[in-house]
Amino acid sequence: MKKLSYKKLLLCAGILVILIVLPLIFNTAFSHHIMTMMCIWALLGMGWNFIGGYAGQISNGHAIYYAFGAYTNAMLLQWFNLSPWIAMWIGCLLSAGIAFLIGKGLLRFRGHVFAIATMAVAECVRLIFINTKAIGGATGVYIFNAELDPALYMQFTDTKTYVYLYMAFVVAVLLFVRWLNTTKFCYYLRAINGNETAAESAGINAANYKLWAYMLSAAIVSLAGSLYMQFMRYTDPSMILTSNISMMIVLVTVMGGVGTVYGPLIGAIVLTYISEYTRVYLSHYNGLDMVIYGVLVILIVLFIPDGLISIPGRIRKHREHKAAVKEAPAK
Amino acid sequence: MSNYILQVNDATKKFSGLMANEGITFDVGVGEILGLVGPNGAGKTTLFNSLSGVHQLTRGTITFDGQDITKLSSHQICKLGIGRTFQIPQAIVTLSVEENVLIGALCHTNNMKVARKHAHETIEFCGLAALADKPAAILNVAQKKRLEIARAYATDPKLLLLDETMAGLTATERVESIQLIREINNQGVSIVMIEHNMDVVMSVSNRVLVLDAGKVLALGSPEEVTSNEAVINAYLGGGKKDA
Ligand SMILES: Nc1ncnc2c1ncn2[C@@H]1O[C@H](COP(=O)(O)OP(=O)(O)O)[C@@H](O)[C@H]1O
Ligand SMILES: [Mg+2]
Repeated sequence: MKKLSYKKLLLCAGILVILIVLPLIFNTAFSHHIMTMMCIWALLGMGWNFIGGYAGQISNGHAIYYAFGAYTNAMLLQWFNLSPWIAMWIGCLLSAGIAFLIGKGLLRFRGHVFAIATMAVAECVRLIFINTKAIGGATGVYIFNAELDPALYMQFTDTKTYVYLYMAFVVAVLLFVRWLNTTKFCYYLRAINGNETAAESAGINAANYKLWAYMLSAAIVSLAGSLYMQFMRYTDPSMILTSNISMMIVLVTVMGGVGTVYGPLIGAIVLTYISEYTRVYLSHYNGLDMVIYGVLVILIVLFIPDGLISIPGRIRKHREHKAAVKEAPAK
Repeated sequence: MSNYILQVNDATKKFSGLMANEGITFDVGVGEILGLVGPNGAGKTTLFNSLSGVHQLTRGTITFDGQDITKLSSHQICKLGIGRTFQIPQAIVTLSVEENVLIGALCHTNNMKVARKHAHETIEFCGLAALADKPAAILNVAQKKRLEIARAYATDPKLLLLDETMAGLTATERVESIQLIREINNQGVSIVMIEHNMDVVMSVSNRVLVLDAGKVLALGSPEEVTSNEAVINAYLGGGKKDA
């Protein structure tokens, strides 16, 4: 038992060293940009996973909460000079509140209907954002101000700082998800996903649990939005509140492994890498980056439907199968 | 409080024109096993759905353990102490056998350790220990029916509603299943069981309720019911001794 915890400690130390060293080895603004975006997408995936993965309700409108997180930071700074360190938690609460209202209305629908309904609501919210002058309308919002204290207002000049800070957020949320994964809450969500009739008959208030999952999911996605705002320092509805973003959030999770603890993280790393590199290296051929990106995604989803996280298990099974086939004739 | 765990008064359920249940009145004594029989389409499952809150009665009242549960929903009724199984087994296919039972065991606790222990004991008790780690999706019908009982029993019910848990079972499996139901009953759990096999019903039940076309045809001891002329004509006389 003691030896095991010693091993664990070593593993943690190893991961920590890697996380610290990575931004130093790949020490360019572009590399840091990619790493930061990986962190943000990991948070988006982990957030969506609660409703889409554990509870199995495919939401196609999570860009709403991404936008609410980002805009809460921007507007509270603009209106009240409020630090993002506080604003992002207000954003989480606000998003959870909005998720409560939307969830109350939409969670009664299942499957495709829920997916389409969330998409439609997100589209409405986008139109509202575009047409609300008070929050910048279609022009969007801009928060950079060189006079602000960088640490207090989370506007760092060194891109490495963002990488380290956002990594810390990912680790914190990951540990939270890992813990939650072993609790009654997540077992109940999985039960609802597996068979709602059975879950209800075993004493589970499915509507309530789904609503909680949806709100939690919105809060984490909102946090990602706040961090995105601090990093980009500018956003507008066409950047952050599109069905494209909503779809990507789903994709990151599905690709990595839906309903798993580490799946969204893996999906975020791989997808961000592919999308950023295709974007940069193929930018002179208009739209080619999106084509290649799309084809890659189709291939992965087609051939690894359980997500990238299932690959080791598949290889193991394949080997066992091969070994069994070899042994069979000898008997 | 009273000697009855369940009192049903004038239970009536109408599905857009179809009277699936009409004016059904009966009660279940504490510790009793009540057999519920009747031809296919008689309204037995519909009655279970009303009792367990899957849907609401059109008319009538249901009192459980002295409390009016007529308007309560499924999960509330389970929490109060009515467990049920489904005629078509409803395994939670995303979970293992043990986790399926764990879901039931979590009904009265938030503590995973306590729930795991309870689930483990229930699995042993129900004879599913060998399958504990298997995905529920791969079980055969007999195993799935047993899992239904285990999950419902893990919620610590005072009353268990069993919907055709022996249909499709072999003779040996049926004997094992009867054994399990007797053992559960010995733990003080009252039982209402829908069952087509008359030998099973007659040997296990304290009393038998016969439904036909949504109405009560007879209610009494197995002997009384089997000698009831209306029952013989409508149901037993049809040569439907064994499904
Ligand atoms: N949800 C429902 N909606 C409409 N009709 C139903 C529903 N459930 C059952 N019925 C009808 O009610 C009648 C009784 O069915 P059921 O209770 O399943 O019978 P049993 O379990 O005795 O075989 C049948 O005619 C059936 O078609
Ligand atoms: Mg039936």
